[in-house]
Amino acid sequence: MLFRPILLSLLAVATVTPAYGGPSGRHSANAVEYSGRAVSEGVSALATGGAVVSSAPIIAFGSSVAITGSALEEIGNGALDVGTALSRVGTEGSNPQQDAAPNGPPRLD
Amino acid sequence: MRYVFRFLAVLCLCLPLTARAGSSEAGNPVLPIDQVATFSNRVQHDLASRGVHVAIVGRVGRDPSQLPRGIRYTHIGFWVFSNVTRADGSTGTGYRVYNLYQRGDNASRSELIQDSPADFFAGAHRFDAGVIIPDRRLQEKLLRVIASPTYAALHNPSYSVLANPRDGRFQNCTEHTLDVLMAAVYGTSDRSQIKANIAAHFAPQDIRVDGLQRLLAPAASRALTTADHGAQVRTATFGSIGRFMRAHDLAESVYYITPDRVISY
Repeated sequence: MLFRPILLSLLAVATVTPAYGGPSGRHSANAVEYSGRAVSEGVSALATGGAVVSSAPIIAFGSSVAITGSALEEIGNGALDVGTALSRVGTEGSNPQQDAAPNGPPRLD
Repeated sequence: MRYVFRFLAVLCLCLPLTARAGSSEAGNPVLPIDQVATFSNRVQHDLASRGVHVAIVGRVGRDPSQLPRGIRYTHIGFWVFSNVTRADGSTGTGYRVYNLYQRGDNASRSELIQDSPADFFAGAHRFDAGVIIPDRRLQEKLLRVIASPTYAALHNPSYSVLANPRDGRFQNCTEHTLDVLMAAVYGTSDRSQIKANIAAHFAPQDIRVDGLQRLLAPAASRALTTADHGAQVRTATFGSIGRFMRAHDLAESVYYITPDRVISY
């Protein structure tokens, strides 16, 4: 009597799980696929020497903007880097007070 | 008892529709890695040729045929022109991507991750990059925010696929991008002020989610909650951010790149 509903449920669950499980990992999880790195733990499991170990935004406007050297993506090993966790902290789930009055429309002048 | 099982079956079958409205999902790699590297270089060179220091770039992280109407890009991040040093000591200049990614081990949590352009496109379903180049003056303001503690302070690790950008309880990648953008535009790190300005001036994308889906989705994943919404579900998207920036003259250009074309919106 319950066989069909149970089967349906199991089938549905089995069908749905990949829809969440696959995409739920952050994009850097792809680096795990390729390079064997567990990005979220900051662990490097691939010793190709290709990983970016540091980067700093170039603040000086007006400087030439060109892609050079190691910033060019290589094909094959080293093409994908381990991600760098910038922060594990933040503003936890709290809803800021909504009593602030909005400013005017955004303007850059 | 049988009704419970039938209810569960219907519930499960209903949910994937909602999940696909997500903003930062990553699937298994579907495109050849060598072509991913080539395409990411193409996008890098395009931005460099325009003298861009900071851009907002979107990728198609889902099968486009399965995305809700109005959604083209499922994940966006800031591409920041940077000095890069690799572990082998080699150096260069190019773009680094500042992302908010849903965690692989806990779908209802996120973290801020910096990665490479190739990482960014590794999970893409299509070689298609949406690009918003902010006005030059705004790029400077964005750089200052991204390089400051404000960037991380605006991160809320409670992740919802369909986070309401006017509400601070949950956040996804597009909402964090919008929060950072507003912080730069208004020169504030005050979250209350940022949310007030978003509510007043930003029009999010309507997402069609029926009542049953809204009711049942959180049972499958807490990341599918819509508890921060009213009657209508609205979320920030690449498209809605692009429209907002163009409407207020905050964008120099908005376009998309494929392997053989660059097309303006």
